[in-house]
Amino acid sequence: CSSSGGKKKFAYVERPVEVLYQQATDRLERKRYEEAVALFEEVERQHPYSSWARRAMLMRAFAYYQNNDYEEALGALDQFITLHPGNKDAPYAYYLKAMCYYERITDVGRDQEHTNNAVAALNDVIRRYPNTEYARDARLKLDLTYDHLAGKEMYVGRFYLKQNKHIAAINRFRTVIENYQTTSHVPEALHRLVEAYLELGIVDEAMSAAAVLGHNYPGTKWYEDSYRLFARHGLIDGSGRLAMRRLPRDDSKKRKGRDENAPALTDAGPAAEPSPVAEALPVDPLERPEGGV
Amino acid sequence: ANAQQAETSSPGEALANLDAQSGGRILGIAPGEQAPIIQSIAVRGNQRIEGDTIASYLVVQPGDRADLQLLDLGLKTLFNTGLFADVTMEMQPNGVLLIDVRENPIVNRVILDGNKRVKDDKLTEEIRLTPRSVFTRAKVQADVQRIIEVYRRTGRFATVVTPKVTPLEQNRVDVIYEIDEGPKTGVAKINFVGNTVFTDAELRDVILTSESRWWKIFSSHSNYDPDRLEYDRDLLRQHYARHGYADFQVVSAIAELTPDREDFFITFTVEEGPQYTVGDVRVKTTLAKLDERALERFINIKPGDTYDGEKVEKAVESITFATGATGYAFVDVRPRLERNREAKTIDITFEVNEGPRVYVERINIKGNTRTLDKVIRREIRIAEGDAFNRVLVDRSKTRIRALGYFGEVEIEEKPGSAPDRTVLDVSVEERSTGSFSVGVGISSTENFIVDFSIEERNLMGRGQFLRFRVQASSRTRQVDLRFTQPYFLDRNLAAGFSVFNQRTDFRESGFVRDRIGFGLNAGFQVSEYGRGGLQYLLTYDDVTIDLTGTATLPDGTDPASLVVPGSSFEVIDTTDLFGNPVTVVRTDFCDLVQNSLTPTCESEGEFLTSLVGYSLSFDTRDDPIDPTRGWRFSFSQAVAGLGGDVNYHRTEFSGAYYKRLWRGFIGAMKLRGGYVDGFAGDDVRLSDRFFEGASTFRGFEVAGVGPRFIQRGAGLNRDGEIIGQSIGGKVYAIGSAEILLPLPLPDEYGIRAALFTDFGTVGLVDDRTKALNENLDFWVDPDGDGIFIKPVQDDLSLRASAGVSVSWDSPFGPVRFDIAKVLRKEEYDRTEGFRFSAGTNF
Amino acid sequence: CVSVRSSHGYVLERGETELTARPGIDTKESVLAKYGEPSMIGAFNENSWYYMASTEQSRAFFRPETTSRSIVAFRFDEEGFVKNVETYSLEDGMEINLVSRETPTRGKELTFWEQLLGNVGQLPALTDQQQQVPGR
Repeated sequence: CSSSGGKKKFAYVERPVEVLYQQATDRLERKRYEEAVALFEEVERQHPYSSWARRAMLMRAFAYYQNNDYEEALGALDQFITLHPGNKDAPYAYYLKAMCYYERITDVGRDQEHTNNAVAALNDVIRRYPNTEYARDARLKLDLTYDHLAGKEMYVGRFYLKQNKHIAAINRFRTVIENYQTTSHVPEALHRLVEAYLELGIVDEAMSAAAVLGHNYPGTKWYEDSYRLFARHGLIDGSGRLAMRRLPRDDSKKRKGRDENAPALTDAGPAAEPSPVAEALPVDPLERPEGGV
Repeated sequence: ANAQQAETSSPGEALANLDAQSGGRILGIAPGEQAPIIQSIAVRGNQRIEGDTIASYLVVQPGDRADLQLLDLGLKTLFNTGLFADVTMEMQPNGVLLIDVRENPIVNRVILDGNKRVKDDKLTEEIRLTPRSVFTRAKVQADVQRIIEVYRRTGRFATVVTPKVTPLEQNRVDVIYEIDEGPKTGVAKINFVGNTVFTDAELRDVILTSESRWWKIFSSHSNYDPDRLEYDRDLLRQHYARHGYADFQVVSAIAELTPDREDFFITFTVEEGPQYTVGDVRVKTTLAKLDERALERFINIKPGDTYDGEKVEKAVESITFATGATGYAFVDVRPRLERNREAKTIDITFEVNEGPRVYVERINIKGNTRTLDKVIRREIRIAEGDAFNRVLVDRSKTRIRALGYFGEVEIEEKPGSAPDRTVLDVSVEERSTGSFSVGVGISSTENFIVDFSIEERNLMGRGQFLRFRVQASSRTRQVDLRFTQPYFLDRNLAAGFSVFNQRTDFRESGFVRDRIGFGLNAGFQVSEYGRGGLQYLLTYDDVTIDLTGTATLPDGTDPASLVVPGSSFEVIDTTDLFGNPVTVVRTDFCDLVQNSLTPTCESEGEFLTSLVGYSLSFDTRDDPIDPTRGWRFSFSQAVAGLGGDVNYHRTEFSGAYYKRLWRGFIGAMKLRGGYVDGFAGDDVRLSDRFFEGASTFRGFEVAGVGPRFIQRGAGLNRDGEIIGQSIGGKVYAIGSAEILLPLPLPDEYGIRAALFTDFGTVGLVDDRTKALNENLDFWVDPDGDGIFIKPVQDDLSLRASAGVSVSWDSPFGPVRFDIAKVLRKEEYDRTEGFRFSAGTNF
Repeated sequence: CVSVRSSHGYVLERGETELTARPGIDTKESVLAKYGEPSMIGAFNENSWYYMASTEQSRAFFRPETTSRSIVAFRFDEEGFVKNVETYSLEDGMEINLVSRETPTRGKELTFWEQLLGNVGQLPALTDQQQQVPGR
């Protein structure tokens, strides 16, 4: 591979460790990452017991990372973590490991293996070193990663909705609402539920979805879309709020044992107090189970 | 510098003293005594690893009691970090717990020596011990095994690997693996004991392991591999089960190594058992609503047939599918065989019972690093929430594999969140679907062909197909771009367009055509095996005749009268055939008034063709490349005249039927035909007519069969055939019967040979093209026997040829030989006894 | 030409009666024992269970159309007793044209040339510097 070329040149030139280390860092500044890696390797090889060697191992990982050789970077970082778990730079090593996955997250249409690895690695950083600045950045990136996983669920949900596979679509959108409550996809998931339930004709479910959407995301376009759907299908009562009744059906005798005063939605009306999902919304996504794909 | 000097000491024994690695000791604590409190922990002897790292592995902290079990646990954790050669824990009277460690050395260099057949980088990939990693004896032993395994896989079982360690200062070591490769162990002989029904040779064809012979340079199966031997036992069992030997079993499969460790002798001892025929076949079901008699119709095993294991499995699948189709998704079909040894018959009862009611909760798609999720998901016949149905899962797997984007496709069932729920994990392994090929070909008809193409079958991971291709040969030059979107508008409809520019020199017909075209096409599934297609093609043709024509100028006439008005001409004085002076008018062939009526000239000029067409094709062959059973039929019609200057309608059909004859011979019957005719007063232009020959009618040249125009003064060529220009026919019908010969060569060479006979006819031209025949001065006598024949020859007579066709998928590309003898032909047809073409793309 | 029929969702074995339950007597456990897990549970209240079965017909390149759909909804009260049973059929469905807008997601998109020529190995080891989160 690329770095072996460099190694041949330096193999047997035994030089004081400070000189070697200095050359390596200046190669790093000049973005000549392969040479920097080769030099850091020399430091480790020739002076394995010096404190320089520990530093060199970490810097070698950083050089790989800058060169986008993510797998080699991960290898070096794992080596550092097993040898020096107690070292003061260990948090940075864990953080860099998370970044190696985070930066390879592909778009929602493709395999989310890196996203899952990123979630695990970011949680690692937060759990082991909660009050470092690495953990603070990891929490931010974790939210973005969960947002990405929610995006994948929506991608598949929309696919099934377009194919009229309502069970599949509704369950996918429900996963988004339950497992990814703080992501940017929840409003759309709620609207898609309205669309799916209306296509099936289960109006009360559509209404409860729209009620939650209206209550928690009143300003979004998605709520406007839902509202427009209800209006077009005559489900908005005089006062402009979502009608509580079911759509009157001509074959009413077919309905068996419909209990008229069922407390369907009265309590979840948009004006009423926040619906079940509302209180749960600001929950911290951390303790939620792994949102595996 | 001191690293070199240490190497001189004999490295062999160095490994030994490392051997005496003790398991660590705990001192200073008598077992019965009250465990003292640990005041503090001191670490000694560590050079590389920090003290607090070692302390962090201990279970006990300062202030705890020095309990023996806890200390022992700490000792064990320290050891299995693999970092330490020796650890001693001493509880000193003053309450200090002293940890004395001796670290494992660091590997400085790993040297492989003695490996000739297998290169260094192949071995270093396998080895775990890398420079700068921690040296442990366990890793060295593991690496020795891995090196031996690499050699075993390449067929060398006699390899010996001895590891040597040389200690260096600063607790570092160099590791040397001395490798003695030993000879390559081939398979000298495979013989079978106890086989009466099939000969040894037949059984050798069945199994995968083969005897190593010098000419089997490509084959990788001719070295001994124990796992392959296991697989061979299974292949033998399946082979016998297909021929009725239900009790067959391989008693033993032994491989003995010759003393010089050069070769293996493999012996299979088998017990064939009796051959069974089928007794009665019944279906028994507890599902009340299923009609057993109806299900029996799905089993194609009849009483009296020889028992065939494969047919039983096929029957299980078709019953499962039949019950699935009638609304029973959860069905479990089990064949129960009752053998009665005397009558040597087997009764087969298919038990159809209620299977577990399981629903698919979720379908996860993994491994698609390039292909989009929906491109795969839309091929899966089950949606989340549907009932789990094995037949649909299998069909989904074949459909995903048929996309051609993946090396491996696996669908795994995982338990779901509830007992009656399952999760399907579809894992795919992406394969590069782009190909960038530059090809050079030689063929007797086009002498050289150069082909450059870049193609991507899975563009942007959306499953779209894009190909840009440039092809040049002595006869044609073509540039085309083609794009297809498989699920257009998310429907089951493949749509695409193609743009091409083509320049073809039809030497046989004396004209050059320059064509620019644009096409739209769409394809969809019509039924289980049928596909329909729609097509629109807009082409602009510019046909030029690049011949020059001369006409004698009788004295006193105006040269312009012999020439089509407005075209340039020259007047030259030369001598005629008999040497007396004559003045001649020379101009383009078609500009001479007398030639303008000839069929070739009639097609000169520029014209626009706007054509619309549909096609239907059915294909039930078992394998598109090497079919052994099934049939293929396609029918297409196209009309040109939707605008543009050309009006014709064309109908074509082609069919092929394959059947396995006896003992590996495969018979193929093929038939192709077509009819094109003008309408609205238009005749069919030369370039739109059918030209058959070479690969479509073996034994004849390109466009060697069919109507021909013989020009005045034309003679015979060196093969004694009349020199004339092929003008194509409006009708063609060609059949061919082939027999594929089973060659003794292993099929991984890809050599196929077939005996064939082609027969058929091409002919029928419009009356205007035959107008020249009314004018007697155009009649010709090419063979000089005094008999004059018509200039435009066209008879719908039968031509036939027979011969051998050999094709070989050589590592440099497909190579093809056709040797044919013409049995019946018209004297004006052009034959070609031998045709050879080879193409390479790399 | 030939049309392909397929059934989806809950499987009502031929001859099984419609899904029913006796209000006040049947409970979640008895329904679960009789019919297994529901196809869908109410998105916002655990006490509505839906069992849905549908059949579809697709012909050549025309969009597959749903030929029949039956949904049975069990409503439970707080103690888990069946309150009422509702059914929905194909006629209840409404024509909805789905909103085409999508919530944006990030992640590294394969560029055209990288896709066409980047057949070397799975991961295009491209050094792209532009700031794009996540994926950078």
